[in-house]
Amino acid sequence: MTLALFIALGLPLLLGPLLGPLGRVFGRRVGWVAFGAPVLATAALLWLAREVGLPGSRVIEFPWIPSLGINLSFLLDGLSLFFALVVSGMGVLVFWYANFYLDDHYEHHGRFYAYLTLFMAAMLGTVLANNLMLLFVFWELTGITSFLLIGFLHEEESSRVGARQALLITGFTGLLLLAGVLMVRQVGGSFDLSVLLREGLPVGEHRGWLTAAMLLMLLGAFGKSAQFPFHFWLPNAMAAPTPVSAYLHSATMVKLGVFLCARLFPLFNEYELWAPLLSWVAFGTMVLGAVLALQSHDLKAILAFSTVSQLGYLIGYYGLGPARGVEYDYLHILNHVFYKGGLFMIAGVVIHSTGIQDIRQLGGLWRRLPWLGAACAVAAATMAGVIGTTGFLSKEMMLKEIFEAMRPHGTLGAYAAGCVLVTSVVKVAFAARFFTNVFLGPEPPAVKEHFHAPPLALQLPAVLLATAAVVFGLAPMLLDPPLHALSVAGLHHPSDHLALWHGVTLELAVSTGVLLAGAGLYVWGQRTQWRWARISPALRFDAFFEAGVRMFSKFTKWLTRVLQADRPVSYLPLILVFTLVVVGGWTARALAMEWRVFDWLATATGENGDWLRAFAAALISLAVVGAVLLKQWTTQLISLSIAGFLTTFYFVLYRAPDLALTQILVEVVTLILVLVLLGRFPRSAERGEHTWRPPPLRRALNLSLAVGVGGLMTTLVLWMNARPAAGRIGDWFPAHTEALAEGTNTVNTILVDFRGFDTLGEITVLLIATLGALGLLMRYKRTPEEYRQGPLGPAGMGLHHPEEGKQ
Amino acid sequence: MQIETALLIGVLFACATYLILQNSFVKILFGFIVLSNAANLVLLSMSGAPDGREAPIAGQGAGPMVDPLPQALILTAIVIGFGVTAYLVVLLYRLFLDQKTTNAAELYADQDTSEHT
Amino acid sequence: MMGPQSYIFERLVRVVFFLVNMVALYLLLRGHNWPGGGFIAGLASASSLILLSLALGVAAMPRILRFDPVRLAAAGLLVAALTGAAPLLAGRPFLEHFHTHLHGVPLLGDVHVGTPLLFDLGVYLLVVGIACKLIFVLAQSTQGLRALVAEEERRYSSPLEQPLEETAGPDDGKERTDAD
Repeated sequence: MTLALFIALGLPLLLGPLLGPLGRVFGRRVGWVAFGAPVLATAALLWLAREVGLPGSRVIEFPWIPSLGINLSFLLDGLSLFFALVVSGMGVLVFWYANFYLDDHYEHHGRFYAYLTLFMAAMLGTVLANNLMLLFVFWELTGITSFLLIGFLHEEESSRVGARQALLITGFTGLLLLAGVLMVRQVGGSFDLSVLLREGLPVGEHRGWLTAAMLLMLLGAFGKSAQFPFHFWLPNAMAAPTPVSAYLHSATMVKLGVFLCARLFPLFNEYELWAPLLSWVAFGTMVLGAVLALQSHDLKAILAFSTVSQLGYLIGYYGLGPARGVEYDYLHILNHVFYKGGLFMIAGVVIHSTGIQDIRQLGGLWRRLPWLGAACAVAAATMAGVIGTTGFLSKEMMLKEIFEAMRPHGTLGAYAAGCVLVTSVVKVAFAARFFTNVFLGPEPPAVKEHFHAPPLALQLPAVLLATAAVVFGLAPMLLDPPLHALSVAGLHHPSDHLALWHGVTLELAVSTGVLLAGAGLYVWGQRTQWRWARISPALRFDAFFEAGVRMFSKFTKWLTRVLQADRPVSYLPLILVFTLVVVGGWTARALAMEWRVFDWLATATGENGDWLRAFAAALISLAVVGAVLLKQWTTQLISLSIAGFLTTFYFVLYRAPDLALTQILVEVVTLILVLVLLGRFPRSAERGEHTWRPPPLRRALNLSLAVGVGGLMTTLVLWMNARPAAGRIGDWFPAHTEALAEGTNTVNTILVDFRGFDTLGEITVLLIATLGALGLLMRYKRTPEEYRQGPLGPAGMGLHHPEEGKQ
Repeated sequence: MQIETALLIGVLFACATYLILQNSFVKILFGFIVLSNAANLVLLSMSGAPDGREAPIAGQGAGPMVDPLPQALILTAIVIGFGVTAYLVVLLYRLFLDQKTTNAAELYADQDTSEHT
Repeated sequence: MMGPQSYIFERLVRVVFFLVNMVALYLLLRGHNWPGGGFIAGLASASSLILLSLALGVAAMPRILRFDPVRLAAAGLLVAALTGAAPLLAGRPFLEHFHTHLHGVPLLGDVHVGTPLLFDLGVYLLVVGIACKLIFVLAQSTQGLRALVAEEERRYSSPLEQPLEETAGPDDGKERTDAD
């Protein structure tokens, strides 16, 4: 079983990176190497499905970070195998399709198949993962590979924008998922789904945490499955080559949100928030997606919005699911795969052979592509839910369940039912439009001009999917055994046998009504030439998002310029104010809590200070204040030196002869150094200082900051000295200096012996500082303009837009 | 109690802060020198009041000794402070040669106008 | 900052130079037991050299010293590091020190020597080296002389760089006021 799992999951992961270099050798034929991956994966998964002993489940685990409870743990049960088979089976078709679609007009075939293979591996990993952490890792990997695939044609602006939107949305919501996963782990005690499903969540004691975790994980699902308000990234992701759209954005990746809802269903479905949250969002998205699909003219946009709509239904389906389990989710998902994957591939063939994406400029392709036309007719009929296709079955069950759900859920049920009905009507209309406006009617001259016949093999996958829709639609009992075998305890409720004909029921009547109403809408649309079909600006969420990203970029630039200006005069006050507020506030709070402020202030002042020290301190203060107040640099420096020499005296008073010696010598050398520097500056530079005096307000701020820092430091020093010393580390050194270091000067033994390593580091730093200073004496040969911009160009976050640069 | 040391530290920090907040790079340099002195004194105050104590030379006098650890730290800090001051001096020299000014306000004056247009 | 051309000053400085260095040596040797040590002795020696440069002119210093002070500093770091690393060969911890006592040495009597003195010697050399180099270089450059000789330039900078003094004459500060 491990081997089969490795073939299904590990092989694509290993093969992916290899395909890039292989692509350089084989050119476009590298696709056939990649084709092996989904074929082998499907075979391995089928074998696994036989071995697991459905409807049981099996966990395969390899240690990864066992100390954190994170392991390469895989859960093989009905749900994961169903999704994995959908992914790999669809993968076979898509890889086949891509091999004919990506002809020599495209470049970098190796890279494309590398991304696609890695994406498939990531998808399989996500659905098979048992450990929630592993699931998250694969989940984000699908986001990254899809980013790369959407941006594959990165020379085009739309590709880049679409890829960025997809990455930001799915990446961000993925992080929310991570937060939710961590909360579940904290509360439930395990990352492993198998454990959590077996033991359930401790609802009683951690309700708040679990609710938060559920919300976060559902937001993750909404982001991935393009639910409102994240729905807009999916249509923009259609900038990718069509095989990618067909694979990622109809059949697999966007289903991850659905998958996650299915996984979480047994854990969370009894929460009172589960049903309303999923239903309100998902059914609303469903209507929104359908309406937007009706208003679009781009072939892929129509399909993308209808995918959003269908995903809304699938997620809402889990929301309204009764506690005993849902019945027909696999049917709905399979149905969607059949028709949406097929339609995407058909759209791809049409675009490939005509170069036209706008449905208004297409028509009359039936005569040229009869096979494809038939497949499209079937797929569109499936989408519309015409009898004889899986779409009909799906819709029947959908209506039946919605009507059932109306009873327990009240308003929510009515809302859902209304949404489903509206969506179904709209769907019929744009399904009909998709087929008739592309394949029927007169052939526009543009099509005649551009058309070149696609190979039959390119049309094969779409035809296969359409055939499947018809076969299973006419003989639904064929679906029964596999779906029953794949059902999972907790999630599924044993369903009735599927049948084509249930007799004359309410659902049939409604279904017929929907078809008729949809047909009416379609006819009206054709009459009015779809002139009204235009997405209103209020619904252009992608534009809002882009504006938000631009605003954010501007905001960060502004913030960086304000907070991180490259001049000390503007950011130093900020740091100082922050320090004063935090440290000062904390100190004040601590002092106030001790209630001994006045005590130690009394003892501090009551003692007889050392008058010699006080005298020296007063002299030093005088000298330093003089250094501040004096006008000329040289006199300031001399005043400063006096302060330095007096500090030497202060060190003597503190019984520190070594310090005194060091200080006096350093003072000499520093004085000479600064004098040499000041001698270099012309008089004019010093006089020029007065013309750049800061405004009075600024001077007041500086003064108050200075006083604040001084006062804070005084308080801190007094406070620290007022605390009783509980044994000093320093007492150890004099006691042992003779025995251990054979020297009596404790300061020196600390420097060279006890803490000799510090000294070694210090002298290294001194040498480095000197070398740095010597390096400053050489100048790079560059122009003043280059100099001002620095080696990396102007400052910023690197997130600028080309439009901004022009302003 | 070392109230005079504490007050001295306060004055030094206040002066250093005021100098560092100036536009003139020379004053910032002076501020840095004062600041390193002030920091040394903070460390020194940690060794406790020296009244009635001896220098940390073992084997002399019978009285208690002052804490030698802050002294060792300060000795290191003084020398490092010298290294950094020297670096700042060379940096300031270089800045002057490149930009022909010793004043931050003047240095950024042309940039300010160019950024807002 | 050209050295004052005073005979008396020059003679005086020569005497003081030797005196200060004697004191520095004394401070270095007694550092382990009395106030002193590598840092202090190094700074003292450095200030004596700086004094000499004031008397004789900083341009004369390379001729007198005959070696680059940075080499002195590097040698100091090497001595200190080797002193620290030597015990490793014997399987002892880094920077462990050893001591021995010599008895009956002529003139000095009992002498205590140990590896801490070597370490301190390293510190001494380094401090002398960097303090001198920094002051000499800055003094030379501010006088409009080349701070670094051509051989050194390669050492401290990339081939794309040129000395500051070539691009900035000594009176460029005055140009600024004219331009204003």
